Order: sequence, then C-alpha cells, then structure tokens
Amino acid sequence: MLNVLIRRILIAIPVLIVVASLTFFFIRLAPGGPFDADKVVSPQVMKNLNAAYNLDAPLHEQYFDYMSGVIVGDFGPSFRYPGRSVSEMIYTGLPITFELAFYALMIAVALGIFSGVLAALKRNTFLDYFPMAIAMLGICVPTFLMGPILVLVFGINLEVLPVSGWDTLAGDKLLPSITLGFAYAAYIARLSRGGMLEVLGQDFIRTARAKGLSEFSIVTRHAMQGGLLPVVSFMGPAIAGLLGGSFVVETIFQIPGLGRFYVEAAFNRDYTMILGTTIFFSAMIIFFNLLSDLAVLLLNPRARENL
Amino acid sequence: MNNSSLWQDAIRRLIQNRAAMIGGITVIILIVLAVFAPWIAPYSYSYQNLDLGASPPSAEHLLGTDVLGRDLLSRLLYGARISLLVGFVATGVALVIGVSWGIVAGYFGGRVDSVMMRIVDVLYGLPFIIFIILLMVIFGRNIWLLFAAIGAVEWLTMARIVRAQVIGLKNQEFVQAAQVMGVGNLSMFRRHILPNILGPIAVYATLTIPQVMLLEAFLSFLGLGIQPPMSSWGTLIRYGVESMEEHYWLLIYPGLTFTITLFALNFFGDGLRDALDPKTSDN
Repeated sequence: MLNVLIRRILIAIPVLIVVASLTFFFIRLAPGGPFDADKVVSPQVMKNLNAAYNLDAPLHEQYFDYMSGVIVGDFGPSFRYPGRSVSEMIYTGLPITFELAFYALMIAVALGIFSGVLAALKRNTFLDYFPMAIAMLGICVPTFLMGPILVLVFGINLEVLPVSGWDTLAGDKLLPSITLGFAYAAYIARLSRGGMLEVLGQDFIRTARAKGLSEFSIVTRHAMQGGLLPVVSFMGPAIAGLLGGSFVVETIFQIPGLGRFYVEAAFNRDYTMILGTTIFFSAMIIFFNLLSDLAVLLLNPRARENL
Repeated sequence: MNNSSLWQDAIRRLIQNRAAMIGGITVIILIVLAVFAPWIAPYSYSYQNLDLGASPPSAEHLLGTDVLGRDLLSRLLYGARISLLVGFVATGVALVIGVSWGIVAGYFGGRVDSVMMRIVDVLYGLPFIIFIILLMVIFGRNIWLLFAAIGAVEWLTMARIVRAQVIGLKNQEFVQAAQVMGVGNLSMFRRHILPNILGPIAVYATLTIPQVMLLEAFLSFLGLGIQPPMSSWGTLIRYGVESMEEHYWLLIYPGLTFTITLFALNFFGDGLRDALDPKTSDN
C-alpha cells in the first residue's frame, strides 16, 4: 500500500514538471509580446516594461527563475492587472471555486447514489425508468444550457432566486451548485445503478438474504460497499470535470472564482495568469486523481492483490 | 467479410431497438439537412435585416430572428454543418490515434505495451480542457486546430478499448497461424486484427461524437471556439443566453436542437453497443 503511494507520487512529480515546462515554453510561442495590445509606447518604456517583468533575461534564465518561484507558490505578476500577482488572484478565487465545487459534488453524490441505488433495487419498474430518463437528460443537457434555463425559470420568470452573484443575496449559491452538480448526479446515478446490479446478483448477497438479514442492511452493509466502487473511481475525473464546469457556471452566474479568472485571462491574453492557473489546476487534478485511486485501493481488496 | 452473420444479427437487433432506430434516423436527417443547408436554408447565415431586429417566430422567419435580424432557422442549419463537422472530424482524429496506439501496444505487448499504456494513464490524469483553451489562446481560434486539439484529447479511451481487444485476439489460433506463415505486421493488423475489432470501435466512435460536440459547444459558449461570422450551435446558445430575457426563442431553439442531437447520438450508440454485444446489455 505504502509502495503504491510512493510509486504514484514519484510518477506525479515528473509529470507535473513536464506539464509546467511545456506550458511555459508554449506560452512563449504565442505570437506577439504581452504588451502589444496596449497603446503604442516608446522603446525606452517597452524596455523598462520588459525589464520589470524579467522578459529581457535569456529564456533559460527566465525558465529557472519562474520554476523556482513556482516551487514556493510564487507565480509571478499578472500581465493585465499591474500590481497584482497571479498567486494573489489564485488565493482569492480558489476558496470560492472550491466551495462551489463542494456543494455541487454533495448534490451530485447524494442525488446520484440515492436514485442509482433505488433504480437498481426497483429494476424495470417506474422507479428505475424515471430516474434513469432524468439522468439521460442530465447527460445530454450541458451545463451551459442548464444554467441559463434555471436562471430563466427560477430567477426571471418566478423571481424566487437571485440570477447571479455569490454570497451577496440569500440563496444565490443554490442555482450555481445545482447547475454544476446535476450532470454529475446523472453520471453517478448511472454508475451506481450498474455497480449495484452487478453486486446484487452475486452469491454473498443470496447468503445474506438466506441468513435473514433485513433488506436495508443487505443493501447498506453488503451491496453498497462493492456496488459503489465505480462511483469512487469516478470521483477523480469528476473533480477534474467540476473545475471545467466551474468555468461555465462562474461565467453564467458572475461568480468571482478561479474559473472565471481563467476564462478572463484567456480572453485578455494574460499570459502569466494562464500559465500560473494551468500549472495550479494540473497539480490539483493530479492530486485528486491520486486520492481517488488510493480510495479505490483501500476499499477494494481485489484491486490490492493485483499490484 | 466472412463473419457477416455477426453483423446480420447485430443489424436485426438494432432494428428491433426502437430508441436506437429513432436516434439513428434523427442523426441521418440532421446530416442531410446540414449537407444541403445552402439549398434548404431560407436565408443566408449572414443576411442581416437590421430594420427588423429581433423578432419572434413568424411565417417569414419560422424560428424568429436575432438582434441583427438574421434568420435563426438558417443559422441553425448552417451551425449544424460546423457542429457535426467538428463531431465527425475530431472523432476521426481520435479514432486514428487511438486505434493505432491500442493495436501496437496490445499486439507487441511486454515493454512496449507497458510504456505506451503508462503514457495513456498519465495523460488521463491531466486537465485537457485547460490545454485546449491554452492552445486556442496561443495559436488563435483556428477551426482546424480545434478539430485536432479535441481529437488529440479523446483518443485515450479508444486506445484502452482497442488494446484490451487485441490482447484477447493475439492468442487465437488464426492469428498464430498467420504469424507462422510469416504475415508481416502491417498486413496482420489490416487483414486479421482490425476486421475483428470493428464492432467495439464502431460503438465507441458513435459514443465519442456527442462528447466531442459537447466539448466544442463548451468552448464556443465561452467564446473560445468557433469565431464569427461562422457559428456553431455552441455559439448560437451563447448569443441566446446573452439576450434570453427579452428574446427567449434565441436560447430555446438552439438549445433544443443541440440537446435532441446529443440524445439521438447517445441512444443510437447505446443501441449499437447492445446490438453488437448482447452480453453488456442490462435487460
């Protein structure tokens, strides 16, 4: 177990370094300097600007300066917002994005597991077909359509919930969290239904029934442990997907989180901001994938044997 | 092909599956509409009637017009060309990379396999959506680059599926017989391996198309995908959201078209999977 952990971390570190380096050099390939879009400035000012942002140093020096900054969490200054550093923007945006992702994940897990397990238990009845049809809807209606429709219905027509903002009006966290969580609830429902159906047909469940255990404890104590494994291994990719979804949801609901900063940086060609957030997002996603793989190993003795 | 009975069985099962057939027919209709859009569309996609502005659905403009007085139905038809083109081309790119990767890894096995699959494992863990955005920012919002970038992301699962299939085939007698007869690697792949894994490839390719279209629409929605004056369904949804408070039809019709298409592709893909491999079917 410890071996696996160490091996996985030893792979993750070089991957992260390669990702960071590739991003760094890719950004340098971009046409034009970071200040080209601004008003024309004298060569002297341009020179001072380049010096201030360390752009006049040889490329390899820039690279080592940048990488040694990244290690201690310093992603350099923002090109677009003078006086603000990329790290500062990450630290202000991140808690909001995390909070949003957390609520969305809670909604997805609760709703998804409940309806998936129920559908598996009541297979081929209305309680199976109905949630699964909704789940198909959740997979086919993308976040960027679901969000505006919810806003149109609950925010504009019914006027029961705020249409934008975060932590400013009562209930303004509800719509973004539902929008972001719904698609994942759908995936989790399908995964847990499939996993449960597989487990429920096995011998040890029949044994548990023969022992006279109540249906409730058969499901919660015996079936769910194995049946929900696919959901656990989906958690890593889901968290990565939630980050992508946060780009859309934060844009729609005008939430000042890291996702919106990233999209804005992409529009403004704020190269240092893009570089910093890309490296940061990659590190986070690699970390969460690691976590979900380890959780599967902990929960599934069979996966441990195959190592 | 001498395994026609498998395909005949599959087609029979597919025809019996009503959801899959409706999905398939919808997709075919959409493709026909997209191909013939310039002849079917009542207006040009860039024709503006600024005096009219945004108007609700009417006899002249069946689905209404946008803020610049452009006919929504025409723009949806032209948008179908872009959205479906992205879906098919990017899936094609993913198919070529994924199938070659999977066949080579599975067939040669050993060290080659473990290195190639480790690369796939590592790539799986990376936030590709961010890299696509990065590419679009650096190299400009070029439609062909978009195809390549999306295709380059979606091949990973295909490689895994193909590899697993090839490993199963490798030890079968007809492959070993061909090896003994000295069949070269390339013709081995082409004549003996590929025809036997077409089923899973077809299924996964069908299910990749909606994912790719979703990814394109996502980027276009953020304004980082297809650029004006061209418009994909994602772009139209973006414009629809901007003016949904006053002009609901600009969001509803593009949204509905997109959702129905994804539904149709998913149902058809699921049906194809069940038809080719009855074992995986739930019911």
